[in-house]
Amino acid sequence: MGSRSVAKKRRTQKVTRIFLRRTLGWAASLRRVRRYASLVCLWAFGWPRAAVADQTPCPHDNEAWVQLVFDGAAWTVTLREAVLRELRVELGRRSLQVCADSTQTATSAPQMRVTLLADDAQRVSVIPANLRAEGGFVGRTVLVGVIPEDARALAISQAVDEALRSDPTRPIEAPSRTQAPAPQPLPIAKPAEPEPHVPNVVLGVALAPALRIAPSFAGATRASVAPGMILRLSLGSSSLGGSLGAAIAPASDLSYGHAVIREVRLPLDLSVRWRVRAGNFEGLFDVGVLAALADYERSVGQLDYRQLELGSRVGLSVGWGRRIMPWLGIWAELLPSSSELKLAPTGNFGHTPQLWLGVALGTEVRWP
Amino acid sequence: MKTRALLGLALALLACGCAERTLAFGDDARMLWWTDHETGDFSEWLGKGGQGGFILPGNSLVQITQAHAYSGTHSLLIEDDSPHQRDFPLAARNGPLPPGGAYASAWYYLPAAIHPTSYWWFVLYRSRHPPYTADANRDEIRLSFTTRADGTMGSVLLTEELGTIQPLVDREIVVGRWFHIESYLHATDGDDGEFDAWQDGELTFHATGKMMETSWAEWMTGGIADGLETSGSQLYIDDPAITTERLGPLPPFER
Repeated sequence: MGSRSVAKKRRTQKVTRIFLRRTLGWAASLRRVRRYASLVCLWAFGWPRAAVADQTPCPHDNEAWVQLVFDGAAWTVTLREAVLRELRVELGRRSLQVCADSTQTATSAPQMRVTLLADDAQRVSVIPANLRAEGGFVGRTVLVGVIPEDARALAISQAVDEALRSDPTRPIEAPSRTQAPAPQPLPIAKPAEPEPHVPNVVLGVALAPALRIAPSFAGATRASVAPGMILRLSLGSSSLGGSLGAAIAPASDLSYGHAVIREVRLPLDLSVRWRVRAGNFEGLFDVGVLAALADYERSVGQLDYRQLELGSRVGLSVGWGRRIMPWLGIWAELLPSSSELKLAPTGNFGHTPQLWLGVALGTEVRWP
Repeated sequence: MKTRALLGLALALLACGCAERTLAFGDDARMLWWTDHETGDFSEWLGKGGQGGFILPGNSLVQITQAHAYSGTHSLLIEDDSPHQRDFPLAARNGPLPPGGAYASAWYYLPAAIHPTSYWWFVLYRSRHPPYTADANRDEIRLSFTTRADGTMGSVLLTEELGTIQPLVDREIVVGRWFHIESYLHATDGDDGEFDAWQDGELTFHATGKMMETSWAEWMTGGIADGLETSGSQLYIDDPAITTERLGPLPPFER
């Protein structure tokens, strides 16, 4: 051993003493014994090895070893060294060495090569073997941004350890000299899956049997109830869009006591649609303008009147599903005015309805 | 240019949709016959319906006038110009009335009080019997003007079968104001007959039993009087109707 290596060894021992002093002082200030104990263990088992490792060829004594490659621009020297330190402690329990310097001449091939990619300070990707160069990515990602700085190295090293354990190509473990502690759960993100393409515009077609009710109108002796079908086309983004609806219904009777007026009504509405989604549950709110072609005919006579009625419509629907969505909806049609109904010679006997309520139960199909 | 066209279209749609319209659906199905005299003649008394009717002026006057009217501008004027002898100026509809019962109503107006010698029938139901010629009839049920104890005008019900029937409610007939008389007759020659009369919507007479000699009944209104004690001799009639349901005192008729 030359004078240069002796000086280097002394400098290393000095650094070790300083670190030891500081670490013990910090640990003594801790209130929790468990954390204190873990730090002592960390020091007792990890630090001497790490300190010595820098001074010895890596790997040495033909032991099994893992090559660690730090890649990406976000690595700091401090973090890199801390990761190496922690990983040597972790893999040391399985008699595996960890070497980071790829330029060193090794007498044996590494059991595994692990690349740690950190392009930003928030995440570190753990890529076993050399798959990154092959274009695939089957490793895992550690979200280090949410971990305190002093615990990031430990988290990354445990993630590497887990990746090695779970990888089928991992080296065969040597018998442990000590019982390895159970790995702690880590904030490890699942392998990134390709995100489903979210289209900007979705076209929906809804068809439903419906029931329209005019609950009360001037002169009426009872509510008018009419079955029918509604068709609604919608176009919009995930939260806002428009819809065009039409209803077809057979004639219904408006009863006014001594007169019955048969009504055929074809409403068409153009609405703005708000959509709220929570999982598969979806709520829809429509508000818009309405034009209805109404035909009023006296049931026992031949006189009939056809007219256009303008108003507004509000609707509320709830559905379940995505591409094919069963839904239940209610709505109200409001007309600002109504027509006076007259007979000769007794005069006014009522008005046409100004409020229609509806309920429908149907299915909507969406593209894409 | 496009903006103007769109604005015009919007206004047109608004006019179509928001303006209140009146939809007239023809005659009220409850009306068997009615007239508001706005034709200015007797055509609707004499025609308008298969049964037709007739006008009997007697020695007095029956005419369409514009002096007073309940609806529109015209009404029927009955004037007794024979204060010292019996006279019968009236308007009538031919029978028979529906066997299940029918309502007959009209609005009346007296410009001056009428005090007959003993009677002024202003509502009369007459029966007809075989051979159903003009003379084969009998005056059955009559609502007559009468003079109440305080000198005001009232009414009394006279029938051939049941005699004189006093009112359930002795209502005054007010001079110078339109009043409404509606009557119901279930005209049978058995004991199941019924007669009711309402004045301004209030039931004033009710009688049951045998009402007619036969079930052939016809309704007439006007003035059959045996004489007059005062100079008042005019009765205006408007909006008469024969109906299947009770109408009550309706607002003025509309065409």
